[in-house]
Amino acid sequence: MTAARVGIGGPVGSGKTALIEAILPHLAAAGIDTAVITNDLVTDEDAERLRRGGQLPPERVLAVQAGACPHTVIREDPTLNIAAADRLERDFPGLDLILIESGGDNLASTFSPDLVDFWMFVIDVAGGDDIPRKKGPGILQADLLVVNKADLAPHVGVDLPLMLDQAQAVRGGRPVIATVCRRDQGVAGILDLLRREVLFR
Amino acid sequence: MTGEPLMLLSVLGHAGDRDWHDRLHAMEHLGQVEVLAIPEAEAARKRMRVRSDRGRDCAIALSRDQSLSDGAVLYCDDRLAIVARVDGAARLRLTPASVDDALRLGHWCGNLHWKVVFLPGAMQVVLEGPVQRYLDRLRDLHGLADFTVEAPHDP
Repeated sequence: MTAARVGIGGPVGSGKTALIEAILPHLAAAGIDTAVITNDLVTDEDAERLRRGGQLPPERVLAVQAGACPHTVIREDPTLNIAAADRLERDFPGLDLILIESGGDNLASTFSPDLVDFWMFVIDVAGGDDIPRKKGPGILQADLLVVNKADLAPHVGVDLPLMLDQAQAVRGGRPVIATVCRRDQGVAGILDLLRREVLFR
Repeated sequence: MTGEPLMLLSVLGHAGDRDWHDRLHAMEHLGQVEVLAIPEAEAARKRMRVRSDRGRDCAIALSRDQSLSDGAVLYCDDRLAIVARVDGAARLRLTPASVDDALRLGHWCGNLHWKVVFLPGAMQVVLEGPVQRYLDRLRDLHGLADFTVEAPHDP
């Protein structure tokens, strides 16, 4: 089989890169051969952060520079990301999974199904508990909604159970997972879902 | 992971092809054909987990150069065939009154990142959610451009 391609989108600072850092050890432990593509505006900031982290060989982290609107390169014209994923599959035969992190955006970004087989949208409690109620396309259409930094809820006046209930409601019961990526909480649940939905192992 | 899905790794052919048509027709009489219903908006995906019309757990994992289409045959042996049924999405037909209105309308729909199909003098918006969500956004444009909206219909 070719590698599964999984998108990770969400607002700036919600924890997309932190989620990748947190899930890479789980993937390694499960024997899932992984590579990553990051998207930034005009730098390789996120890719450099992951390379410095040392959880993957540096050559397994590719950077795409969107230039401007970050969701254009994951939705309207994902050519650059498709080319990067194809290159990773050529360079690393037997790859199981390619994680594609979008550039930080607002609540409107979605991934083209031409680019990914599954995508998740990452928000965080510090962004406000009204985010699910705003029903952005990212919130509504993602295969998985991740609510990160759950541990900050009491410090920012957020009723976490209510926020999760509202997220479930606007998504019609599709998956919502609360995480604290920095402390590896909830991350195993994301891997379980990926194994079931796209890795099939 | 509980339970192993039936892996479907390639498109073997198309139900409309003569050889497949005859073979599937015979198998249908024996109750050996199962259908995977896939929404049009999802059909571009290469991987998905889906249940057949008889509840069979299936995992599609196509190569990047293959694609799902209505009638794609994904599995066939002596006792079972599995065929994809890609359901056409509902669409809104938008017809601008003039070129100026068409420019406004096209810019508006592009700004909303809607998926559209261009027709002579009109365009169809492929609905990926409730129709009211789309009508709400068009309501704001009515004061700026003259156009008509036809209710969703099958493509």
